[in-house]
Amino acid sequence: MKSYTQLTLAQLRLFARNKQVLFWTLAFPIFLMVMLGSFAGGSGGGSIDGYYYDEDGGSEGSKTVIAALEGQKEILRLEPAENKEEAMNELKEGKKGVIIIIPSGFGASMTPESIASGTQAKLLLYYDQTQAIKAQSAINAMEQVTDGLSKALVHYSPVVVLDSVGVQSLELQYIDFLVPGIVAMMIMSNNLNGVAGQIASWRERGILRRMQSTPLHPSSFIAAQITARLLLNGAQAIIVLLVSSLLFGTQVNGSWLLLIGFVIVGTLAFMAIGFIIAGLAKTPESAGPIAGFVSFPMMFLGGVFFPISSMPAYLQPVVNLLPIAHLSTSLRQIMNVGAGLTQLWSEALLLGGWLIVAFIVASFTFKWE
Amino acid sequence: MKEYAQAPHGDVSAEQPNIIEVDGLVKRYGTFTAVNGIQFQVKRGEIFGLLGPNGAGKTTTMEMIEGLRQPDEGVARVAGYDTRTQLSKVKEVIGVQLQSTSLFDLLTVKEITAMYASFYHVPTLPILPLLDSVTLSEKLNDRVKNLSGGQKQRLAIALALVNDPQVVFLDEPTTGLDPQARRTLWDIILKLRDQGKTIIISTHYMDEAELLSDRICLMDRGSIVALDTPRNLIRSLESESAIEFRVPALDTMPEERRSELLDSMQGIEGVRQAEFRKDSYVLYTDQLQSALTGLVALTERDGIQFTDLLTRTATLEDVFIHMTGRSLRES
Repeated sequence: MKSYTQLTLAQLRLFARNKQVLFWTLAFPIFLMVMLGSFAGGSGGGSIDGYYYDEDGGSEGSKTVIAALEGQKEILRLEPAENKEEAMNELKEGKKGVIIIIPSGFGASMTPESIASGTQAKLLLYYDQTQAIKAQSAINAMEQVTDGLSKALVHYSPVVVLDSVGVQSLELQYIDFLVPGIVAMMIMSNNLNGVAGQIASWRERGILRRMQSTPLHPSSFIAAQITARLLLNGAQAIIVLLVSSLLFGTQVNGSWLLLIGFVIVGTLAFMAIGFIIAGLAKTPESAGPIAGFVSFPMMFLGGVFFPISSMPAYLQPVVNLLPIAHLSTSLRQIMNVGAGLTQLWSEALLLGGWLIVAFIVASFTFKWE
Repeated sequence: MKEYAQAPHGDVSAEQPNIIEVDGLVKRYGTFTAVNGIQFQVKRGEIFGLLGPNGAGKTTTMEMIEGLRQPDEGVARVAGYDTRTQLSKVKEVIGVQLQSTSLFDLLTVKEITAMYASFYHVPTLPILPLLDSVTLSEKLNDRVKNLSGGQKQRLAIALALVNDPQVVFLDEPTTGLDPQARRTLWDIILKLRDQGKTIIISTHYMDEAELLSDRICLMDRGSIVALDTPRNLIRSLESESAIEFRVPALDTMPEERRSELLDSMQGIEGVRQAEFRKDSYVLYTDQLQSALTGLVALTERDGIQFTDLLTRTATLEDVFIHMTGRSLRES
């Protein structure tokens, strides 16, 4: 127990005193966030792809709606859907962000007789909750469409008008996507690359060997590593979240506790993978490239910078197995949509699976020398 | 300057029990046999020197006794504990300074000592007196990276002592140190011996081995060449003195003439052994005067010029060369 405390303390001191590493491990994600957050956006940053599906068989009413939708094409990039089922599936898979359905009988309910009887004509809008902000702008756009149609039908002309100038910054929407991804990336690189590099270097320099000549049990050593890195990662994740909140106004809509829970599970899973790499690497020089080989593709495939749904279909099965994909998705869902464990149990399960398998493999491959 | 010639040799009482017993240790790396069936015992309170060139198997031998390497064959016992089956007991009673250990550069001397102390279940020594005993108490709050080479090595020794071990393993502790730092370290090692610690020290410096060791185990190519007190080892040459000189005309001499010359030197009265080594002849003798007279007579008769003549007492180096045909510095 005292060896566990001492080793944890020692690791924390090493972190705290290695100012350069400390600075860059924080500076890099913040720099990425600021850079990508400011430069991205622009092209299609705020628009949302989707389908409209006309169940009303080309009635006058549906033609009016489709024409009105055309007026919102800056935000709603819609195509006509061939098949409602398929369209809905694409929405569920996250390939599309919104589906607008013109129900059958819509045109009929827009006739003056029907209006006089007080019946409301209804349009249906399905949206992807994970793209909350985009969906919100889609909903706003649709409200303008329905509002316009209503006003036209009752020949209403407003007396007071609001001439609003849109200062809606599209970047803010991407940053909400980006920040959880960057936190996930930071967890991956600090642990996977950090553990692999450090352990391999300690082995090379004989530090582990020297410890091996004492009664110190490897489990105390590993437990101390885990504790120190959890504390460091937790602190770093919170700093990045605070910085992004200050600079870009991002929020954590869900439970902080759940967010921290996922940070911990992610840290443990990537640390275990780092221990495996440290066991495989014959020299500290080779640990870096091996860790890079594992983490670099994950960074691009795992939904850190781009939505997983934008990956080619043949990559999807692979991407869906990556721990980073599930970490970034869960962090994003918690922060953006406020998702709870009931929605995220499959992500939690997969990350947990990675954690357990990686730790079992690591315990077999770990060597003091 | 301190007088080191007084260091006690061979006065470890024969009645002291063995604290280390090594029997038939073999270590192979692939087809290379690093240690080839060695056997020795170390008595409690003894400084036991492993002397040999690089690659002789000294480090592998020590690491097998420390339990850091699994021997392919043979047994090592420390304080009665078998290193294969009772390793955790062994680790509590030994202290180890490894040849190439580096420590955490960013921790202070005090922090790193406290950390190592926490690894043991047996009572550990108080940090301040321990660091004082290796003259590091002034560096208590200095970071390891700011220590000199000698200070780092003294810290490594302090860490090896933190559990008040019965046996201390020092693997080439003075390699790379300047003469002053080496002397400081020798003082510390001799003091440890006075405290009753058993010390296994490996070195490729014969002066160090001779000065410190009660007994020396000469190793070469994974085997023990000789094992005795330094004095007995030198005595085994049956020659107290060595005469060295060069013959400048040697370069132009035909090969058979050279060996003829060596043979005739071997025939000088009082010369026990004549050798040609690198560019010098070395004659071993226990009758320095008659050997020198004979040498002068021989060279005058044959008209040979010699230069750079010196006489000296025989050393462990001579023993090693005599036994292996190679110098300690070659490897």
